[in-house]
Amino acid sequence: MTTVALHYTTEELMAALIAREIRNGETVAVGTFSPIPASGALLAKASHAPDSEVFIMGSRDWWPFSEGSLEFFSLAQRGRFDFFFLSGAQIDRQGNINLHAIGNYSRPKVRLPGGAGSAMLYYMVKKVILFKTDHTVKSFVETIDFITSAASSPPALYRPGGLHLVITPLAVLVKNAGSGLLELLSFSPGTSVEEVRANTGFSLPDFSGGVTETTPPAPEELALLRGPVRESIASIYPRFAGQAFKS
Amino acid sequence: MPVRGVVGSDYTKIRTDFKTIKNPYGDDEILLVPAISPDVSLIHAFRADRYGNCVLNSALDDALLARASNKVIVSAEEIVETSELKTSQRGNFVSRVHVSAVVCLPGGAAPTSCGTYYREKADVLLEYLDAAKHPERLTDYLQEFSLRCRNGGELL
Repeated sequence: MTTVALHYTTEELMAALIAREIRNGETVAVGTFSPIPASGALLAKASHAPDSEVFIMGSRDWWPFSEGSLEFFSLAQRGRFDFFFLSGAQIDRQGNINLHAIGNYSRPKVRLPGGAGSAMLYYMVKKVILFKTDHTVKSFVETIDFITSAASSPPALYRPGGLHLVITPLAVLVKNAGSGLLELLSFSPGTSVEEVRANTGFSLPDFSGGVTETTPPAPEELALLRGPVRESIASIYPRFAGQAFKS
Repeated sequence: MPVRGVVGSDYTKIRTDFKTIKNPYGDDEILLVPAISPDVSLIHAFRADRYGNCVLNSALDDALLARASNKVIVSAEEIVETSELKTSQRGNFVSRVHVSAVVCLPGGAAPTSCGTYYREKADVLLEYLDAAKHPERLTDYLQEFSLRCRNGGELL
């Protein structure tokens, strides 16, 4: 990786990219083990999306439910969420994700935690952002070992939602509506198109509208992330809050 | 039980008990999954009375678990009079109808958190994570953990 001194962290960049996707008034739900999406959702809420509803699993302040995840997943199944964030140990060129096992499912090399609600959420949340904190040929692969949640499904199935973007430290990928395959939309400052391709295990065409360099976080975004967002995140993810933001 | 989504993933390869049917109320197809009815559930409540009525953490699925299980053993931070069982957004009421036994166990959720009673103990959780990598150290951890209370919940 090219070494360039940046004035922000990878987490701040990814959170800002997530925040920019959210429009005011949209409902944003964040699951477990998702500190970067939680930061992005709170950044949007603190800046251009004050009327958005934000739900964060594991938070007291951002969890207005009284029937646990039953109530949360029921809302999701009614199609009430505009955004949710998923990840995977492996992601393939269509955007299928693997949270089950590396290797053969019955004799895995590594057994992963499993999919929780992802096999429903990927279908029922209008815009799903895949976020991944490592972008390597081992994580972005031609064929994944197990499809925990599918980017495409049979036409007979009711599916109002699906993949919106893939966000990694290196790049933003988007799905081509025709081919159903991922394309390179933008690369992060300090990287290059070549570096993104070299770290992707499948062939990654350019987005038809052209590939650009990702706009880095603006001073206003960084100020909010390092102020109120960090403070709010600290009550959910204290270790993350201590490490992910520049002082 | 009907569930949206899932079809198209590999779940249907490993779970042959998941069935896809035509939605009788629409034109689409929908997945059915069998209900899970645990034989026994151990649930830690904020407060319980001596009949088994209790108030427990509403951020979790404990109330659902209590209603789905065949036998439910509730431990609680406090045993109180029935009139003191107050629900709130943070605490759900579960009827004694679903509860088989009640145990007074202050600190019963530790080292994880318990509502407004106490926070999680991160250092103990890290200690557990480390111990869990070595069978003999895990045995020691569990031995120490199971002996941390005496006389029905008094922490040593």
